[in-house]
Amino acid sequence: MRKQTSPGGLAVITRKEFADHVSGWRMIILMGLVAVTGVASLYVAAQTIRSAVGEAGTIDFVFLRLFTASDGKLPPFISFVSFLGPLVGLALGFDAVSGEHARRTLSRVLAQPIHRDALVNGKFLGGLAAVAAMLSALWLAVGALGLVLIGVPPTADEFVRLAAFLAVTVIYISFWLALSILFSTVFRQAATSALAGIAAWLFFAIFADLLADLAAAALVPAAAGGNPEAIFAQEQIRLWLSRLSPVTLYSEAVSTLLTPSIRALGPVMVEQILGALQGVLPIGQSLLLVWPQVVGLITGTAACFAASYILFMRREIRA
Amino acid sequence: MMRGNQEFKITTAVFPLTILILTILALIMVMLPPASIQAAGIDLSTEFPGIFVRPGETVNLYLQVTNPGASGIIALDTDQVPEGWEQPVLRGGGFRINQVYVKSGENARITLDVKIPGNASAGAYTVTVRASGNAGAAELPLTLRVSEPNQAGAALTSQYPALRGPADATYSFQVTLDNDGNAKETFSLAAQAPQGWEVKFKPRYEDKHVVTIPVDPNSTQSLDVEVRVPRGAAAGSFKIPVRAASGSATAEIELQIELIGTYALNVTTPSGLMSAQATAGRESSVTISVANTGSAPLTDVSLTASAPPNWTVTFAPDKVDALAPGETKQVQAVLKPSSKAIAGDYVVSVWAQGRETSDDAEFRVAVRTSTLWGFIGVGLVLLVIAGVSRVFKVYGRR
Repeated sequence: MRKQTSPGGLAVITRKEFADHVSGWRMIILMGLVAVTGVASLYVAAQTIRSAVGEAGTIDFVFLRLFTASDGKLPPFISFVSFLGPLVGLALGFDAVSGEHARRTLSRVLAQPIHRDALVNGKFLGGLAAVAAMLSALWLAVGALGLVLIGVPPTADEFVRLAAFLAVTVIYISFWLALSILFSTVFRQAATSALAGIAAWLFFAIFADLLADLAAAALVPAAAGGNPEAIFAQEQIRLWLSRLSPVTLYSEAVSTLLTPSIRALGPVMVEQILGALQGVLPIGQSLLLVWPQVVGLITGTAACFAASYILFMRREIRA
Repeated sequence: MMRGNQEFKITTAVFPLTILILTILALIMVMLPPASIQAAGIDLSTEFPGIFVRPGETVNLYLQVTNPGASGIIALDTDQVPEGWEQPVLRGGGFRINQVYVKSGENARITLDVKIPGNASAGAYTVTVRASGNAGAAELPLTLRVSEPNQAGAALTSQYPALRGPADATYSFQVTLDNDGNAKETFSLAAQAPQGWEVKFKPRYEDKHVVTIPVDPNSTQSLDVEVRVPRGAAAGSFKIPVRAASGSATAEIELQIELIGTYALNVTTPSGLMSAQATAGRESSVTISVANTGSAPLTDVSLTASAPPNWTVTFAPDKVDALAPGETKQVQAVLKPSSKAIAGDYVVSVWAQGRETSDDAEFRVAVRTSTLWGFIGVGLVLLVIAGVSRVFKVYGRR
């Protein structure tokens, strides 16, 4: 309590929120869900890799395939994370502000020597820290399990890619955390906030792609097998519309990071492929390729957080 | 008259007696061993009783022993051997012999080995062979005329002493080394070849490299002379004197190789690394070396490249006018990938086309995308942070 007083209680709130999240059932249940599905997909991936190695001899980037391989029935690990990860973020934030309202504890907290901005910052940072800690733990556990399953240690390149995967995942989930904090600030009822969050999640995870397809087809009509330029333009528009969804951004970023042979995202002209050799990208080029996606996620997170900050700061708080 | 009659009577009386005696005698003659007919005797003969020989030589003479008398053992011996000569050896049926058993009326073949000493001087020598048995004895003088000893001499001959072909090859000459002398000689072999050429001597049908080779007197030894011509040897005619020398004789032969010029071009980089890095839409320079690896000069070597669409590859200079054998010239290739190139590896083939020959090399160009957008992204993130901190400032604690 010596130094923490100077930033107006930010550290206190952050630590308290972190402790609440980590010990709370909510987090444990959701991370458990992610962990169970993740481990299941990892196991399936390991089986697939083993049979593939038996058939094809050596495989490059075996360790990365643990996260991207699937047997066609169970989606790969990264799909589970991209689908279920938002739930973790939503669960941690949906009642961040509205819950305090409902419990009528907000004025009590603010009666302490704690600044109002420290409260919202601390709630976001605490959630972020909890997400980062739990994801790191899951990441390490999955990595260790993968090591046991396939017995091949990751190379330095693979390790850097996996670290980038962890960082992008933390950013992705923190976007959903920021979004749910925004909803909890906008809506006074925690249930409303949660529903809004779930609606957003379902929309982006399932319907955004379909809508992007429809919208692109409506904007640039192109028959299959018709004018190639029109098809190309339609594909471009569809891609850009679907990239409005954080789920698409995350999927693109992560699959590129964990699949070194992906060299381009989006449609590629034949003339760009001519003379190209089969090969993998160096890690720097992969990072460069997904950097726009990462910037998009960071920007989205910052925008949601800033919006909730502004809303919270301007809100009238009655006891 | 009476007497005449008497005599007649007597003679007529004696006649049957004489016949009887003669008959008995004839019977005795038939039944007695033929030893009684000693006049026939033993015959020792050879077809060529006088021969020319050389010092150091061993001659085998075939003798025939005929026994017209009763079967019996005939002792054989050599006599009257010239001074300093070894005792000749009689052989028969694979054995050294000193006796032979010859049936009556038959003959036996035996061999006489005579070793003529190496130092025998010219002249006629006589070796006498004796045979003696129950039926008598026989003598056979053999005349061996030693001819004037040859001086030590040697000769090297080859059926094909001149060969023609390209550099960077091995030429094999078949050479025969002839020792005309009367003594066994050990020849040391040497060849004078241009610098960097390798000459090896091998006995025919053997995979050994020899420096010296022994040759028996009056015999020949076949040799393979292998000449390895290095890569880059200039075209032209080259003489390779080969010499075989022993203590007393030398022989020489001049082998000749006519090298025809080869045209060979090699495109590579000074470091040998056939990969380059380039950034999409930006020029990058690669040094290419064009080497004449043949043995004839090349002219008008122009450089071209085949690259993916929308790439540009230029060479400075784009033409090498002349390239002497062994010479290497460097050319700067400036390659600019398409600005829309996707990151990854591409193949760029570089062709060097001379008037005489051509070569190509494939380069692996690792294309990186411009980091410009990466920096724009960083700028965006900084802007976002600035925006949030501005929000903090504007709406922060009041």
